[in-house]
Amino acid sequence: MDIYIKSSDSISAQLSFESGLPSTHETTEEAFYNCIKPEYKKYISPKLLRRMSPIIRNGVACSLSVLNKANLEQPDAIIVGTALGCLRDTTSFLTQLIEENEELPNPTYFIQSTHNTIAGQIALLLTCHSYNFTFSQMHNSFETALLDAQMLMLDEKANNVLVGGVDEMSENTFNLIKDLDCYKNTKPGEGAGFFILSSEESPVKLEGVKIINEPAIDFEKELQQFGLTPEDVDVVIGGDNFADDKAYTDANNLFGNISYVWYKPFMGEFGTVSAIALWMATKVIEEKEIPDCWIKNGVKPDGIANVLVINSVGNEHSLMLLKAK
Amino acid sequence: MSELKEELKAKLIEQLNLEDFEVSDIDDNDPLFDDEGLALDSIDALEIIVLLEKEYGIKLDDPKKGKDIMQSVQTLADFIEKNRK
Repeated sequence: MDIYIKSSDSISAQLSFESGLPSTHETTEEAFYNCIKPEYKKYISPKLLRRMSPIIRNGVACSLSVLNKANLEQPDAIIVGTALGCLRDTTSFLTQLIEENEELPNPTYFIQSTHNTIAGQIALLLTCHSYNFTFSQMHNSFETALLDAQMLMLDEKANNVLVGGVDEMSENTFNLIKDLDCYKNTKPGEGAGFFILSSEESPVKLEGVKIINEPAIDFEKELQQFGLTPEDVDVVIGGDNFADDKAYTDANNLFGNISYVWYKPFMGEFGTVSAIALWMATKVIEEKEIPDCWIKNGVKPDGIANVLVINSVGNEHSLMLLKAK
Repeated sequence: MSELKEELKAKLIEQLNLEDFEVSDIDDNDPLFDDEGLALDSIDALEIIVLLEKEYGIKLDDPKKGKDIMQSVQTLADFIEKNRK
């Protein structure tokens, strides 16, 4: 079975929601990137909205947008990847426990502090009783969700799967990250990227997803599994945090002559930022062009057939390959 | 009593994150758990139980009485007046 991306959307630090790849982008002087908040009330009733923290709002709004675009009422499965889950609610819950001597914590924070709140809220809103799963595998959380969706479809257990990645960044989380000496030289961020994967043919085909837990990626070997050579790739969406990010030296060298798009300097670094990268790759194929501001090496693509998404954080790497149909 | 009711409305708005409400929007006798009133739900009921204990030192010993006590801001204020420590 071939798998297609029927619809996609993302909420990020740039104007991405219900939009194409923006023609401009902004950087922030703040310590970390926050999402540009969409008009949530378009998708979520105020009654429900009041109890949702930003990560839940972003996950739910983005999910409902892609369902709407795909003209789909009920997916056959809901699969969400989140590296750190509902951190704001967890922080509020734990702070209350400490400040009030482990007595009388507010139920809402407790109920919504678990990682699977987002997938659960989407299911509750849709009254969807089908397969519902949340994956938390740090920087490969979204990729793991995507792999699960792919396997579910290849096993012919689902035809339309809602899959996405979502994380949030707060002042408290940022301070902890810095105390732990993580994300050095990078700006943390937050966001959501959701997709409807479908067996129904559409312009963007999900060719494959690969999680690689090795010191480095052997691109030629990995591409061979998809019957491709590096020369067959038309656009790379690379996760370089800055111009000479050593984690991406091999990718920059190998793909130096083709269009090399980067995203982390404008979206921030977080566990599921690869979901935003996959949304960008989808838009590149759908729109058949890339605004200049996103191209790191200034090379415009000469036809777009294969788009490779690369994400590397430490020894956690992933590749996602899309093909124009 | 009037001061307590205004205070209670403000606390409900803050605690239950009733973003679209101002104190002046809530009448003393508006039903709390009805679509014609504040349209609260069972999680809000739990939040109100916690609020009663935390803010006014009142523990709701008999959950069956909850429905009568939480009918409106007026009934909540009456209950607090009678039982606060």
